[in-house]
Amino acid sequence: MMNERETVQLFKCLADKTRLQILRSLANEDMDVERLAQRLNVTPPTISFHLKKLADAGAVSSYKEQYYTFYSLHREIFMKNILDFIQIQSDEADLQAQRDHDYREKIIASFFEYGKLKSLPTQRKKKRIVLEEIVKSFKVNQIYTEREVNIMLADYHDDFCTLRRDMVEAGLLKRDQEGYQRPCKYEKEN
Amino acid sequence: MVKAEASIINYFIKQIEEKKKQSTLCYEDGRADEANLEKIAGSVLTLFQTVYEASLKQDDRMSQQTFMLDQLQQIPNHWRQSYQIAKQHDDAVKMLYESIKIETAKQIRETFIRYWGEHDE
Repeated sequence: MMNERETVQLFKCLADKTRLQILRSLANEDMDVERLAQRLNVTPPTISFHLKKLADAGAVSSYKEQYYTFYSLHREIFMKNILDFIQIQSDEADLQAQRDHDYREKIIASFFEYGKLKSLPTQRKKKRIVLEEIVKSFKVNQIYTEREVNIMLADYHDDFCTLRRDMVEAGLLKRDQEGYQRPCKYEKEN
Repeated sequence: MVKAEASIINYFIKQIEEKKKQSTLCYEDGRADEANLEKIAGSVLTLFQTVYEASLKQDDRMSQQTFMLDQLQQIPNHWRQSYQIAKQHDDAVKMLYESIKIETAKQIRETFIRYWGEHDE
């Protein structure tokens, strides 16, 4: 069952005429981008744009058949009663957790692009979120040499020295004579 | 020479107005994302209108032409790079945004060459 945030995302996604037209077409049969573009008199890149939004909201999915990628409707979502959606409960703890999650996602989306860090935030709270995201690539309690740490951090940003120093200062990486370790205290995957 | 300048400036004014109109129509039609796409094209037109006005400050007609064509080549290079990166990551949303900017710049270039050339002395 969807949570409140996913429900809002779905409804926002549906509030678009072209996307409704796409869903109407897919309700009859699975189609590829070219066919949808022709049918709706919209360019293929615009169709791909809308399909991505629909897929992210869980409304459609894709599969490959020979050389083509087809899109299909997630019928089970549309078989639900609207009353089921609007009755999704959220208690305050859930709401707070959801707000925190949304804030983290917003920061990550602002500072990362295709898995690379665009820049390191100056604000402490935002920097912490970014560093916590990066530290996920380190295994808990595994010892890494400085060279290994530098190589891993260089995947995120050219200034891996600053990243390494900041992660040690933040307690996200522990450093001793053996090397660097991610302590289990900060094992937080969500 | 003055005719070419007036034609190009009118082109920008008309196209920017058209994009605003299309954006409003899309929005009223419940197609907010497509309204945004028209706004993106409008922003590119506004950008190059400014670039064109700057080109007119160059010393002579040849310098003006070179300035404008150079900018019409260089500025979209960044968009082309972003498009390729988006394509590698299968980011259909970003690919569309970048392709609209690239295509709008291409249309501006073709129009500029046409008007500049037609009224050439």
